[in-house]
Amino acid sequence: MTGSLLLFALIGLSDAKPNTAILQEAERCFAEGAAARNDASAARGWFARSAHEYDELWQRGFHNPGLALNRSRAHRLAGNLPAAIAALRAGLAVARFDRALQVELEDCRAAVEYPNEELAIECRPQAISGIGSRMAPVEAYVFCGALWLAAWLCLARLAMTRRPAWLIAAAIASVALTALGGLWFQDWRQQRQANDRPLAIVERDCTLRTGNGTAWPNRFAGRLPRGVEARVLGHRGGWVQVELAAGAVGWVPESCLLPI
Amino acid sequence: MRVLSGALVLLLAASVAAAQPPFFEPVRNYYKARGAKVSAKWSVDRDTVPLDGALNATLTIRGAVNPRDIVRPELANVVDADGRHPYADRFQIEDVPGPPIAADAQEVSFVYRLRPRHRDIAKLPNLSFVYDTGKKFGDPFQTTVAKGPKLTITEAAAKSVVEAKTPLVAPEHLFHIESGPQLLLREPFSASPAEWWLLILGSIAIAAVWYAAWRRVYPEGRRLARLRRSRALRRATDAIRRANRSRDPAAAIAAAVLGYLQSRFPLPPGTETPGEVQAALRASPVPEDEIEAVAELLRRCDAARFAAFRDDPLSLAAEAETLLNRWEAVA
Repeated sequence: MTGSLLLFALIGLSDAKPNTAILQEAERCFAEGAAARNDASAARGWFARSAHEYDELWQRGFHNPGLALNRSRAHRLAGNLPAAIAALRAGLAVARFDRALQVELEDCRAAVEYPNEELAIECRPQAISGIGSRMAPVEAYVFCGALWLAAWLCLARLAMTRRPAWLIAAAIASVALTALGGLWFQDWRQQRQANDRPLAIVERDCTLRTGNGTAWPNRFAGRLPRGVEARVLGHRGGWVQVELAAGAVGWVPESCLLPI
Repeated sequence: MRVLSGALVLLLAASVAAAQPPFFEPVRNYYKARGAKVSAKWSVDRDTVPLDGALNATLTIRGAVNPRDIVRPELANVVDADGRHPYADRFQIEDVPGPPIAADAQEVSFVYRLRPRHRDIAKLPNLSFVYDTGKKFGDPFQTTVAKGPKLTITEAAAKSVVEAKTPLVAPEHLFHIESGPQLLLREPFSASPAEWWLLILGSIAIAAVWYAAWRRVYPEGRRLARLRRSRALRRATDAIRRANRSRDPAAAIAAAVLGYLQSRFPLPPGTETPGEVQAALRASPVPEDEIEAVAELLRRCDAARFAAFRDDPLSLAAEAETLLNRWEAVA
């Protein structure tokens, strides 16, 4: 039994395309698309193929900011703005500090075409904030480690010299460490609250209704454009209850949403 | 007058009757053909037509005695028994004008250019053609049928005209991507709890090791450190360290040493010279060599101030600081 499973696993592995080959294919398709940019329909086809290959790599667990950025650009040039935003949000979920991803996300958000200003105010999300958006975890680890080590070295030096200046230095390092830890704790709490409600992107224009059916009236004049980000609150009968960035709550058909 | 009006009515009725077709003529499919035996036949120039192509269909009428009077059938208006338009529903119809019909012509032809509307056309529809046999008795109108030939409608041929290409308009930076092996990295670093504990305990261990090494290298260091807590010593040491910034560093060093000695030992007022200091300190329980050392230091300070060959103020300061630490230990 175990041998059979191993055999099947080996067969599966042998059929799988190597990661480097997928990456090369994605880059080749992207280059073809860029070369064919004078013909929009042909270029979009190449970019769509490139995005498909990048998606495959992402699904294989290669979650890094560079790949997320490439995915997003390929999807966007293929004409799929919601998938581009979804790729960026997925990238920021693992690398929220990455400045390039943040800038690209703001650029994509600016490309969403709102039918009226009221919807724009309700749907336009705020820029990513918090210490986690400015400092990488590795930077925080090194910085905290340096402050902690400095505090203890100051205490050791105080024991050697009995000079009060070392006690002051140790106190300064401790206060800085506490402040940094407090900021990260606050950021972690906000992220945990946000992650309790999964994010979804509107994949095609749809109407936000006050209930889970077409008989319910519209929540706003105008339809939610593709690319709008919303938090999922619940599901019922093929409809999803979502919360927009400004807090408005309504229902949209499940088929209109692209989950992240 | 009455006769005149009656004649006028008859004349008017006759003229109206002449303008209108006889009411007994068939309403449908009669095109004024007369003859004992009239036949109608469809012919096409091709039986296979692409969906975006056209064919020429020719309706030929033979056996009519009045070919020049025959009216061209309007295929678009032809209605079948079910009320449908068999030609107009299948084709876009365009009349093709033909040459004038000769007076002695035996037949007449009408040509139509037909463009199929869809691919579900198997044949050209039949056309019922009614003609007048001229019989005096019975129904003079007979019907002949022009049978439509089979047709095959194929897919539209590829357009030879190349569609205008529109460029992909997007910000320039979108056309550039990252490449390289870093795209095959897994998730960015995020410290695990074990790594955090390593950091916390490691820092404490480093500090502890440093302190232990210091104790090992400087066994007296701890005691000296405790002694440095003496206010008199701290003041004297600070004064010695600031001496370099004064105009007369040697005098500042000597003053610092004397200040320390006066605060720690009962020196009589006015004790300033090395000899006076040496004499005063001999009453205290300090070893003689230490007293000699401090007197020597004061002499050197004087020499630095007034003699031609003087010591470096920095070396004097270092020596004074060491000396005071030693005195603090023995005092």
